Amino acid sequence: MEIGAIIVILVALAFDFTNGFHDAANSIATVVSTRVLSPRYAVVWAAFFNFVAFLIFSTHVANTIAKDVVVQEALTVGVIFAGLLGAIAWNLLTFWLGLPTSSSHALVGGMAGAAVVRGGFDVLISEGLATIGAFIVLSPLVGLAIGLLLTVIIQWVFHREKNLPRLNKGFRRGQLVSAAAFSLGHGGNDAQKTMGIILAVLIAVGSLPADAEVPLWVVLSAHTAIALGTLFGGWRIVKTMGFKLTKLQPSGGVAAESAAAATLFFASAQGIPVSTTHTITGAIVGVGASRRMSAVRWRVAGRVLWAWIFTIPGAAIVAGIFSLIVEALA
Amino acid sequence: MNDRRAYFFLAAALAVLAVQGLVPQYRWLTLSVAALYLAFALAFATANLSARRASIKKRQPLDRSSN
Repeated sequence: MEIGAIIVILVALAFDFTNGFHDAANSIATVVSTRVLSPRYAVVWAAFFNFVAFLIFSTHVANTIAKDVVVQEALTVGVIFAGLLGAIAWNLLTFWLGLPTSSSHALVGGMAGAAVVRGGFDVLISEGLATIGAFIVLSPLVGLAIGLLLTVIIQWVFHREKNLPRLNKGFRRGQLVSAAAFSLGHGGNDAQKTMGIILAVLIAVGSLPADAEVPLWVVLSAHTAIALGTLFGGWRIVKTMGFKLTKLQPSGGVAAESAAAATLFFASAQGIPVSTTHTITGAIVGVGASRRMSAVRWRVAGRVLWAWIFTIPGAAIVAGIFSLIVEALA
Repeated sequence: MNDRRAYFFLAAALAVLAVQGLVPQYRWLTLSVAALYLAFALAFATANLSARRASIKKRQPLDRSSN
């Protein structure tokens, strides 16, 4: 395999590591804030389920990233590298600006932008991009709807329960399951985006045929990278994030995580790359909205809306610039 | 009572319906989620109306005495 391809694969795995590092807080913030687990154990819990997700989900999302965004003839190692650099640069820029953008959307935008600069708009696969674009809006709204529905059901079923400590204890145990489910969904959807990049590189250099499935070593390395990222980064981020989050009762935590997990399971089964951050944000807003509007942190929700609008075009422009630089240097 | 949840859920339903044309293969999903939002919007709008009527009824005796 050529050295350029190896470098792109290593950068893709580093991107996956930072994804775990950054998104661990989503998986375990509610478990930590309701004091079900200490931050240290919560991180190990999330990392474990991030890793074992490969046993549950097939690689539909990876195939979508590799084959349904840009036509394969246009996906050279240089284009993939520029797309990846564009996504990383966009993530760093928005992290600096404090915008909760999605690495997944940045990756899709980056690949599209880098390819368009080389081959024009004809290289884009409109059907694949339309589905991904629609689910940028749908995944948080589906998470919100399920979160709201679950909260209403929980309130309706348990409204006569007088023994609140016992009820809370039951939901605390339930949160272990719902947090594990969300971590599975996170590992299943997010690790596959890296697998998709690596699969595209392997096809581009001719190591695999165009209709190849994701090799096992790619699956294992992507899940290892995201789990290690969760393990190393999560602890530090959760320490600050977990306690800053909206005060959730254990029942709210169960509802939010289950709603987000259900949305992620569906998206992964259908091969749709979605933002895990936006999905859990939507689910938490759903739980909050069942109480009162002021229970929701609307500033965060508003910033997610900006992220919806800007991420794909923004990352595409940055990746397009990188694509020109890579082309000039090659 | 100034509960804006009815407007919020109505907006959410419209957002879901706005993108459903992009994913015709998931029409069952978009329509069910939009229907759920509309049901919540209706429930909160009805609750708002009832609460407003109750508060007007409560105020009426006081208004008469002031006349």
